[in-house]
Amino acid sequence: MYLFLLAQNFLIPSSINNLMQIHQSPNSLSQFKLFQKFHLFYYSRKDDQTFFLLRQKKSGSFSEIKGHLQLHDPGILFSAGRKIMELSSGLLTKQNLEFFAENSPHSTVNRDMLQFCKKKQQMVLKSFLLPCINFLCSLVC
Amino acid sequence: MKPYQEDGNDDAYFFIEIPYLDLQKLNTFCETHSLKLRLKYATQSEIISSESLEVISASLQQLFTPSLTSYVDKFIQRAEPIPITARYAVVCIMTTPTNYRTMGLLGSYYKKHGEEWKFYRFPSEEPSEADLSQLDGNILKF
Repeated sequence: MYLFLLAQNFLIPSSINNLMQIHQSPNSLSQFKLFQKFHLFYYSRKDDQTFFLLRQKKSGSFSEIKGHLQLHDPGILFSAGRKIMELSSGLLTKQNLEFFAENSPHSTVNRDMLQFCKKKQQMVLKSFLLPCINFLCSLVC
Repeated sequence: MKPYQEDGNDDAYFFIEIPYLDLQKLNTFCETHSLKLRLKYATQSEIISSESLEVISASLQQLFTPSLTSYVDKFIQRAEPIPITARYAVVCIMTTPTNYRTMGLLGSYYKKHGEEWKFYRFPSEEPSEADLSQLDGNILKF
């Protein structure tokens, strides 16, 4: 048993120090895995059936959202968020999808209602990446 | 999000439940706004079926190994609760538990299938003695 610290060289408050001494982490927690690829499946339920949301590829066939870990990303979830951003210009995030839900009270959707940016603006509006990554990372907990 | 991990490869699988979408509305919106995004729903049996080969990509069909199919049947379709293998407290100091970087980094590398993580914003929040007695370990994030 030993304590696993993500960062060091900070003054540690005494109550946290106690926490560190009393409750330590098992070896299994320190074992990490560097994922190189991801497969992301959105799914919905309707009439006791599960439906997977697939996107059309250039070849015309449909597949899941997938991609590789990008070297400039700190982890696989960031690469997945970036991929969603690239594919959908931010459309496939939780707050946007609610407008397109089958039982949504909004019969029509216009772009002013959405957190959405057109592809040409992506280089400028990098902040739009945040909702995508935030959406995925918030689901980790 | 339900992560699925296989020992044999370095691929991460994520399953995210969303409301059932009106795809006609969504695809029309994409078309109107010059977005090259077309979406379609398919059930697992449609994905696996050999008759769907022209519609479903071959790589997706190959992805559904017996192991993944069994996982999807059990935890996605039948929505059986995933047995918790370990409980961890993530104590975030001088940052917030909702900081996407914290969760993104830890989740990308360390969170394993079946683990339950709870985030605490220190010093306003910290695990109680009762919480601590149930934990398998702590992560301190500065």
